[in-house]
Amino acid sequence: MRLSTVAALGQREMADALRNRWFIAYAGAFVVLSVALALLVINSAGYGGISGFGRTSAGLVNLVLFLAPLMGLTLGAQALANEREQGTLGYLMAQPVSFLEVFLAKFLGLAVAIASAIVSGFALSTLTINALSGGEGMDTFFGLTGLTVLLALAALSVGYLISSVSRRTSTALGIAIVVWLALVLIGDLGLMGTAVIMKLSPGELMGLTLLNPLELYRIASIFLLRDSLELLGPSGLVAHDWFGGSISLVLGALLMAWIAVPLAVAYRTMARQEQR
Amino acid sequence: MIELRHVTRRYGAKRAVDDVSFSVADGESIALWGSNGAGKTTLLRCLLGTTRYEGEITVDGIAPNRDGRAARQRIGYVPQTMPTFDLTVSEMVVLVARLRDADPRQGIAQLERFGLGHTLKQTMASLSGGMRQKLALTLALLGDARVLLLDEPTANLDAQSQAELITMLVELKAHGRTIVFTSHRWSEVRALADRVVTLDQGRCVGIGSVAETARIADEVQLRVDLLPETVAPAVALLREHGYATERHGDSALVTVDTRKKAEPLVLLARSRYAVTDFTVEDET
Repeated sequence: MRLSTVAALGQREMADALRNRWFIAYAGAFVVLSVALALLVINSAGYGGISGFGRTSAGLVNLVLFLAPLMGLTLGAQALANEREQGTLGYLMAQPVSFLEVFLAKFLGLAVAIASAIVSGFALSTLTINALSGGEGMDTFFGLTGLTVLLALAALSVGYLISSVSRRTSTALGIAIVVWLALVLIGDLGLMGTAVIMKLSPGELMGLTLLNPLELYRIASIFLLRDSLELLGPSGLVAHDWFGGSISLVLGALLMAWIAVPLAVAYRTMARQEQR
Repeated sequence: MIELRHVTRRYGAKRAVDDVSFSVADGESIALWGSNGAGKTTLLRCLLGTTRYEGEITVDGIAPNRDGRAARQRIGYVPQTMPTFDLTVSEMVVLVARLRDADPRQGIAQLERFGLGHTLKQTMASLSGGMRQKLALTLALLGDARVLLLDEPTANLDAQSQAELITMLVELKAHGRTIVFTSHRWSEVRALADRVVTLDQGRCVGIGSVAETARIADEVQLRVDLLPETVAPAVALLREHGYATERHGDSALVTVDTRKKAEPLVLLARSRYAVTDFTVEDET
């Protein structure tokens, strides 16, 4: 693999992302809402137990749970299908490049663009709070930024998988929206319903919860903010029992797996199709 | 320069390319001739190493299915229609130059020679079809590719752009480039090719000089312009009556004997299809 090729194609992908109206809308919404949330928290400081960064972080978790997966899924879903539909992928493959280079460059380019949007949103809200109320809880904020980037990249990876099996961009986008709804709304409510109907044990419930990257993020964020999972009730105790002091590592590794596995499957699928 | 030995490309039970063998000497220009579905584009993809195949291909001694990158480093590719990247012309030149380890200034100079120096800051989407194909040719020449593969490079161009592009290719041939191209137009084959490889349903049915390719020498292509809603049934009608016919936008491209050019027009008129215009494309 030639790094110069990956760099050239990755830069083109980043430039494309910056011209993509979906990306601009997501990044803009994320940055504006993050700063608005920080200002809201500062204005209402003193009413809760947590203040400054802690409260902003708690609010941001809920914002991120909606926006970051939507951003990753839809941008990822467009990436390969659009390239194939426009004929640009076929043209690139006629150049002295390998499919792995094109695939990785596209992923890395988009990943950097998405990560930059997230870091910008978090950084601006950090600066806002720092300027207005002091700098407590900064480490939490940095941790949350890292977790959010991981969640967005996991969603991007799933978006890539959707893109790899879709012939048309519109189909890929439709599937991405359905998957987003399933993860954000149906996954949560469905799990609650399943737990009641099937009378799931706390262990089974925690096991199923960990299958959803959004829940992984939510649990990891709670652990980051509270340093314990008591808030989750018996399931939280099960998690503590299973993973002990390595909860952060395990949750981080599971989020990483959500990046690596769909990406590997997408690559395998696309590489086969490209050789047809 | 290029060797193909018993090259076959299967899609399930169907053979898109079926046991094709021929060679192309350094500096030679070869036309791949045949109707749609004859296997011309698939054969070009085999040469590029972007699709699997059975048999053996070497480009300058390199097998594209084993070392695709090295083979493609020696090949410049011009597609039928240059896809539109969301980039300006100069950004596209820089991108492809980086991929081909070439100097982008070489591409900029080539664009100026082609009369496209003023388009550098324009987006690719704003270029006309002819300009886009000249850009594709510029990009194909980056890094001094010794072999040019062209997939119906003039198919979607107006007459003037076709003539300009063919003139450029004739000049490149005169400078020793090895060219393999597919075409529907006999005039292009006559202008550019040293030999013609005729394909039919994936099989090579003839290799000969332009003059020797008697089958096509007796035929012309008639471009018949029709009302958009009547193109599909008119093409079907012509095919039913044994004419090799392809649809190109709102036109039917009919291959017809040079002495019977009026017959398909008469057939269409009798069947009440309105012919808005017609052109004899390839008078031999």
